[in-house]
Amino acid sequence: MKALQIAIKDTLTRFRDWKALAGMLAAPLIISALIGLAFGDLGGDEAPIENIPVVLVNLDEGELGQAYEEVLTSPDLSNLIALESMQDPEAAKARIEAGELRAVIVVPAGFSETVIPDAEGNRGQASVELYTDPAAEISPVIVRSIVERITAAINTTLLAGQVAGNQAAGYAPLLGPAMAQLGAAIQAELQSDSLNLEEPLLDLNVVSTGETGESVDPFAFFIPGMAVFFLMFSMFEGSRSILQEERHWTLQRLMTTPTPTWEIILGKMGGTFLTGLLQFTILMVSSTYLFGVDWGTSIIGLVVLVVLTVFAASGLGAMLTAFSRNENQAGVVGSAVSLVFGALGGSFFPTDGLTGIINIASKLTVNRWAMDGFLALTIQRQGLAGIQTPILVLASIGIVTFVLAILAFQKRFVK
Amino acid sequence: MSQLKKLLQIAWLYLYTTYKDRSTLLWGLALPLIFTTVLGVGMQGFASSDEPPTWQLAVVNGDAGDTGAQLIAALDAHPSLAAYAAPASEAAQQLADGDIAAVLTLPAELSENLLAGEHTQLLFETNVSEPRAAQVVEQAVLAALYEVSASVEIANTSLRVAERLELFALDGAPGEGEYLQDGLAAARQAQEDQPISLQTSAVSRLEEQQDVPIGFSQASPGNMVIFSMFFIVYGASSILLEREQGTLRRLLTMPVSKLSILGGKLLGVFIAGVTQISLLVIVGQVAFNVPWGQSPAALAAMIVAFAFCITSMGMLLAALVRTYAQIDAMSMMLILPLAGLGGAMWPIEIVPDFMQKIATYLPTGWAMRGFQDIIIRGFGLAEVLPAAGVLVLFGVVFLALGVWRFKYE
Amino acid sequence: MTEMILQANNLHKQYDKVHAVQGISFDIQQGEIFSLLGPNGAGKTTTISMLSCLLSPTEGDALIDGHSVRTQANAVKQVIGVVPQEIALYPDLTARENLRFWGGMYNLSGARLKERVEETLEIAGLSDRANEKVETYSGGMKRRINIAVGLLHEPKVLFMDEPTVGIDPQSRRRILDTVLELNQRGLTVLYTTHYMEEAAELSRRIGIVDHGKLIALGTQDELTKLVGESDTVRIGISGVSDTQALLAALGALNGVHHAGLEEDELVLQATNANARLSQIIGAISAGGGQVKSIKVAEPNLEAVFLHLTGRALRD
Repeated sequence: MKALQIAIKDTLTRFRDWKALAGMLAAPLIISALIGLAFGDLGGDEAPIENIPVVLVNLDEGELGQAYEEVLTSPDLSNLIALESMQDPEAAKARIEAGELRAVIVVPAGFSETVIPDAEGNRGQASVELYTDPAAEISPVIVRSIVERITAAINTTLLAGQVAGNQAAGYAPLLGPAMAQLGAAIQAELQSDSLNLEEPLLDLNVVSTGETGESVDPFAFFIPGMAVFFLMFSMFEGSRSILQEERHWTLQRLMTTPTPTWEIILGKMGGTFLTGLLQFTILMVSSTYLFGVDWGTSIIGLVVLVVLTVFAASGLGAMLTAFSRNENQAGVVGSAVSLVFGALGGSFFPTDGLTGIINIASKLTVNRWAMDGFLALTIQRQGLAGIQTPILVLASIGIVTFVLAILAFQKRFVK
Repeated sequence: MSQLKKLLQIAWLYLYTTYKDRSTLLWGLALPLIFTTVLGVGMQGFASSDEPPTWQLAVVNGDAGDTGAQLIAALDAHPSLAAYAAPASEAAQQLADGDIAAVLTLPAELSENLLAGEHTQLLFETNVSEPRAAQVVEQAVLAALYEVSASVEIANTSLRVAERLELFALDGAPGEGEYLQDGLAAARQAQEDQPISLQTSAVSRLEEQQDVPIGFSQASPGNMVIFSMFFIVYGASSILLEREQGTLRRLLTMPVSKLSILGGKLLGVFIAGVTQISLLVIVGQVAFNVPWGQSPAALAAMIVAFAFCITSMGMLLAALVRTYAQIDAMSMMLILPLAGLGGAMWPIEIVPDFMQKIATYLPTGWAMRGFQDIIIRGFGLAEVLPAAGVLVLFGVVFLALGVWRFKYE
Repeated sequence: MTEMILQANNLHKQYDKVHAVQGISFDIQQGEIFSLLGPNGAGKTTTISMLSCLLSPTEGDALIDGHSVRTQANAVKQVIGVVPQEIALYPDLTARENLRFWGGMYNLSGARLKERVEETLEIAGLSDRANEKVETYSGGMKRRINIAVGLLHEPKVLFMDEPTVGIDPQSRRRILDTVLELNQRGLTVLYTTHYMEEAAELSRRIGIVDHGKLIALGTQDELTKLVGESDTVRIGISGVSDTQALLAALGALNGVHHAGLEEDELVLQATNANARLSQIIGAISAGGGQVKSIKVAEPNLEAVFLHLTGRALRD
């Protein structure tokens, strides 16, 4: 009962301190908003990358260079690519170095002439040159796939003419005078609408199992990520308050009141737990309203996961504090562990790319199990049954650390 | 002269106390390295960059014709794919277990539709727990499908040309089906020798195309910028601690000019900052193979300019907050957004235009640009001078404001 | 017969190497103010910590209101109030919030808690500022709330550990008056201090502690009798070459019990000192010294401490 009074007193104190609130609530929300802005999902579902600055250096005088230009400036691509024309490839490349362009496409002189078959059906080979910005990783890939698509379409057209000509030529004796119209027939066919280059005949209907098919909301990942990351900080800070009370002598004074020591320790740890629970809940509720985060379909699963995440984090905070030499050391250890756990445990990026020793290290963190649980609930839309492993691990971490912390604090304070 | 000596003594005291404290090692070196490793590997996505991984793709081939078998062969030929035919139930189980990246289902009418020039959608199932693998496989499958579609388009075009010439009305002409099959074979053969190829190269002055793991060219400078900001800003704001402990007041009662006190403190912080950044650079080069050493002069200019800029920023922060305790909250709220907006947390190119514009108004944006220009574009001293210059300019403004607003009491 | 509210019996506290308290015994009668007087580090706080069940004695025991501090800590805690030397309050909470919280820790609740909070605020004289955060208070105000917390549950005996350290004379006066007033209302007080005047003013009986031992115990009169009728004479001197010879010469004078040197001040214990000043000054002149100041003090606790330990009380 008195443990509860101590816990409430601590929670109240924490939530009155604007500096604590800044770290507990404002920082994670600001960073989440920033991430939201960065990934462009605040306004709706527009493409995250747009208006990629690209220059086309078209030195070809024929129709194919023209074709590249037409496709690149077509309305379909106008959002994705901001195209400019230049005549000097070297000047264009210099603009990549200056950070102004992501890619330069060069269609060399005499290009059309080389690859379009002459009267005898002979043709050469030519290359389109694509120069990309090495400082960018994604937009060059996008530009490249667009140029590849255009090139493939032109190649298909050229090959269609070539195959049609060769195949018909195989029947030249039979066709006789009709052969004279072969060139015109090919020309007419290639320019007709029946040659479809836009949509391949075979296409994919992509279905992801366990998902409704919408793209993954970055907030569904980053909000729990940031919430767990900042939870760790406040759990360490909360645990540290017991050492602070020792320094201020309020702990000793508490021990002169008719209150058992274990109840005082439990109250202090309970206060940290309660603070974390409130912090997490506020972050969840506010992010739901601010960023429209969807927390999945299982309310029970969510409640259990949040409670156990806070339980494990506060237990760990208490245990490391209990074994620290002093308040200062507890502070250093706490911040370091919070940061490392954040990095390893998937608070900043998904852990599915991790392998080997880093993956094992990742699985030693509270953050990892919490994140596994949240992602299972939000993205894979599972229920309580789907997060059994994270729940069990978090509960075990919580129980072990809590017990060890109580024992260590008892030993530390009862003299 | 004696003031200069005192200034140096104050700087020395800061360095001495900083390096005597073991937590300096933790904040200055251990944590940024852990972050660099983890984020580098994380952004890269793969454990090893030497060998692209092979993803398993099960194909449920219900096709009555022979297109299905050809497609499987084409998919299996892709360097990152291992494609094989499997019964539907087995494939579904493997996908659910996470053993394979995706399942492609080919309908019975695939060959028939294709030859008729009709669009067909193929069911492509992926597991959400493997989004990265699924994306790679999807791209590869799409490319293979395009090839097959194109060969059909070519053969069909050839068939229509023959129709225009009214070939099939003639005696002794082949049947349309036969002509189409011949055309298809010719198309596949012609596809081996495409008229136009695409040559891609990155614009860089690096002499040899170094094998910089992609994740680390972001993670190494990014984490260096983030952690050196924490390190240096905390260092500079320790002057508030001196004010609270009363040692600043004691210094002021002695024959030491204010210039020497602030100058000494900031010089110490600056030197510690340069040392820390240099250490991270060296480790980045040695441990992560990031080509920091291309132009030592350019690197030195950037390090000095950045350390100066951030030291001054710390001074300004110390002037703007009232107590040392506020630094904790303020630095989190200031440094993390600065890092995020400047492109130290994730590549700046993935954010929308207006966010990229914001980065050009931030010291972190210029720092990332300068550092990445060195390791990615292989810039020399002359080319990084604009970025270094902007950082110095920021530094001068911060420093002037900070010294002006700082309250000694 | 007066009832003993507290009986400390041969208390010892030994840490790894330090023997902080080495066998302290004393009784406190119901209704008295008992002072433990001694320099910093003498073992006063360790003693009070053992009596408040914060430290368990290495040896010995104490009974408070009949309960053993060793085995019945909870019963002891119910009857004692503790005012630690530190301001053991939550600076972020208001005075009233602090009192409500601590009242809860003393098992008070409901209307009773409310009543006691207001009463103790009244005693502290801070009713009008009760809703301000403690961190905004002056040092003296914090001290008063610090005391008020110890009174919440109406303890039978109040332990006050150096409650006037580091505050201005006005606040100190106010605290001493409060202690006297509380005592008049019947509260028993155990008071530790290193200020002789406080012990002298407040308490009937005084225990003098040094190096973890109780070196004297009694009423003020009883204690001063230990030094006999002797006065303390402090003489500032200069120009003495052989101080040892001078001290020997002074010690040999009739009626001088003790001669010592503290920095450049001679400290003598002498019976009827005023009558012997000319002799003393003569001896100093004979030793080649010059007298710069003379101060004669009637017997007091300071003299007792000096008499018992050979050192001055203040460090």
